[in-house]
Amino acid sequence: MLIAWWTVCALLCLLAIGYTLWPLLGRSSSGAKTVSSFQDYQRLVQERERLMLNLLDLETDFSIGKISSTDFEPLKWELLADIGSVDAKIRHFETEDLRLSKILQDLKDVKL
Amino acid sequence: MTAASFWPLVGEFSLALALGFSLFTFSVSVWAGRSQKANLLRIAERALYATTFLLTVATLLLVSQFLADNFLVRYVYGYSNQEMPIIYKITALWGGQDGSLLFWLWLNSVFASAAIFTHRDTDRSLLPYAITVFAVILIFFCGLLTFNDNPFRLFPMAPADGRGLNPLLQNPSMAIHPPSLYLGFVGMSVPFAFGMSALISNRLDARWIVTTRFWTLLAWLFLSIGNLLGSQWAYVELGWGGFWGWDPVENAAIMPWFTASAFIHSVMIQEKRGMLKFWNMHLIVLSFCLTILGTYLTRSGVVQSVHSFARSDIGYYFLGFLLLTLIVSWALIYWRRNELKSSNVFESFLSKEFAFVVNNVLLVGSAFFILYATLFPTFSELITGKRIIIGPPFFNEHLAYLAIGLLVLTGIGPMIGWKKASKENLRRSFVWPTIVGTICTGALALLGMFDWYVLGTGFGVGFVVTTLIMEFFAGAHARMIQFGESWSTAAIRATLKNNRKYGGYVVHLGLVLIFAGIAGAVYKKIYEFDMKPGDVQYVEEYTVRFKGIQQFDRPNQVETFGILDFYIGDKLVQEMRPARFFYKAQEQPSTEVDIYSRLKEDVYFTLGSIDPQTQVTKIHITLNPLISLLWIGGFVLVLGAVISMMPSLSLRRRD
Repeated sequence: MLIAWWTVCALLCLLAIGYTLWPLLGRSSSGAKTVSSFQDYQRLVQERERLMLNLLDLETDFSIGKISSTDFEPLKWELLADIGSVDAKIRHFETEDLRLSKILQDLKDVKL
Repeated sequence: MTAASFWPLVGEFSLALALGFSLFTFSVSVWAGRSQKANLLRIAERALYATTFLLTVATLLLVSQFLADNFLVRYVYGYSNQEMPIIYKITALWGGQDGSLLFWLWLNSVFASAAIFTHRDTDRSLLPYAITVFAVILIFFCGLLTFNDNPFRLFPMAPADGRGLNPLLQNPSMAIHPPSLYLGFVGMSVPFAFGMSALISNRLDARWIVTTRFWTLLAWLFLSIGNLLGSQWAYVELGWGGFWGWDPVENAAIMPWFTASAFIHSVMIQEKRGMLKFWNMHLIVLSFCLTILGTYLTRSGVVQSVHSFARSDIGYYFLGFLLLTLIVSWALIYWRRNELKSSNVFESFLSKEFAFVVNNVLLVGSAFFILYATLFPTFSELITGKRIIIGPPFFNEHLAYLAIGLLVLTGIGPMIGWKKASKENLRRSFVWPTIVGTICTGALALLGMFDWYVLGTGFGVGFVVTTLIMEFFAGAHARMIQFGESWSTAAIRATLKNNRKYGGYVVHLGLVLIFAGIAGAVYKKIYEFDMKPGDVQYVEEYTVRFKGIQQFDRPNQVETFGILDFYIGDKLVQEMRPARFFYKAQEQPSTEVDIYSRLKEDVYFTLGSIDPQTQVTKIHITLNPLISLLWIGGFVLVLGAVISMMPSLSLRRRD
């Protein structure tokens, strides 16, 4: 019984340690930087979506009279400036980061 | 080692190994955060998942010991017996201190792993230190269970049978209520972990809020469900006709709900206007710490409650952990105080921003008031040597003011404009709601209801419902003009495209119904009769005829039922069977009420003492007006939260 207990415990240990340290057994991916760039790109796209939704909300509030035009204009320009800045970063990724551009191109081809 | 001790010892080993893995997760995640190496982060992630796996093994093994009636395990002996139905053998897992801590720990690890797995690709910059925070929480609980409250401790010899679960916990609500509350409590660790990570890594834009929005709402949803089920359990199981007794443990569960509600509202200001960053950090720290404080109160014995676990030294550990969390969190907030400055300033008291701040003050104020009143008996004993007990009337009287304020703000917040509301906005938004609210108050007064809380609730209900209707119509109308859509199409699309906002409105509607249900309790009526078989009694429009007593001897308990015919007017509508059970193993009685529910009121039957000689039986009948609205409101609130959590249709379509 004691041997069976040790066996079960050793199996649990091996399973947990093996699973945890698995990334050490593989070589570090050469595409890691590209993957990281792609994640940054995705994050920016999500940020743009969030800002666009805020803009949509603001326009709805304005159209139903919840906000005066004096307040609406600066808030709108503030949001548009933020969207512009995020857009610029997205464009930078799409044009400057060649590896990322390739991934995006590949994704586009797959979609087509 | 015997066959009976084999699996409990594997469970104990699994728990100890989980402690080792949480320590490893902590070290590697800190290293990954400092070095920014992707491989290290990957290992930290996997170590967290491995910890969750080991805790799952330990939890399943403890459940299996309950199912196998292995009374060699002290915890199984303490909270189960052979006669208990299978469902209660499973729920006995959280029936006592050690098992409930293991269950809590396991849920926390599952939540942590799910949150990290979900954001593994999109928010990698926040992950390393978020994992660190999760690891610290897991280390604390694993350490506590391994060294102090091990649920796998064994007797030298197995007793023939166990002591069984507390009869009060042998109720279907108890199968869902504690897990739901625990999910709410552990769910708060996700926004807390990401918030702390944002502080450590100095990424204090709105990203961490966007990342944790779903998790915050989920935790809030589970806290709401947990509290509602707790009320339902108190209503049907404790037999006193009420649903909330301001018991310290109930208070411990409702406090984080208040601060989490404040957080959900105030993050909107940070997201839209870049304000309240400093406050939001404090709110999330407060919400998380209140979940730990609740556990401290429940388990330390500092407060007296029907729900409390046995008094133990575990409270000191929780107090230490709580203080450590507060000190480290506040130090981090202080360290980043410059980065947490608002990007904008308040421009007017008549603005959405200010309405949200008032809402936050009332919500956090309610939480602190409850905390103060809960701890008052303890402090009074410390200072004067006398324990001064604060009863429900004190809570009800003082919280009523805050509650009415919150109800009215539920209507003001969505309608008022950002920055500075114009006169036109105020006129357009609030004239009709005020008129309808006043009409509701007048109608209640005409019906002879002059209690100020009921009149205030009447005004609030009318006011808020009108604002919600107006807001819904205005959204649809704007789309009709903008896109030339029909009214029905515009209404559906407006809702689907902004489910976060409209889901929030549904939550508000749920709250309005809950408030109406609570106001009904002011006019609760209690009747008490001594009845012999054949006796008839009249209670307002109802007639009750007592038929006699029935008794059943079951393996687990002796059941005694009072049988009554219940009439509305002359019509027999139902046979009512209130009962008293006597649990043999625990030698403990319990009251089983029987309820006839109508939208207007519940007729609530309780069986009292029985004279065995004369068969004269005490029957309690309570009329609870509008109580159904409380449960319906709870359902609507949950529905609204679910709608709000769904991904936005407009985002999905563009994706």
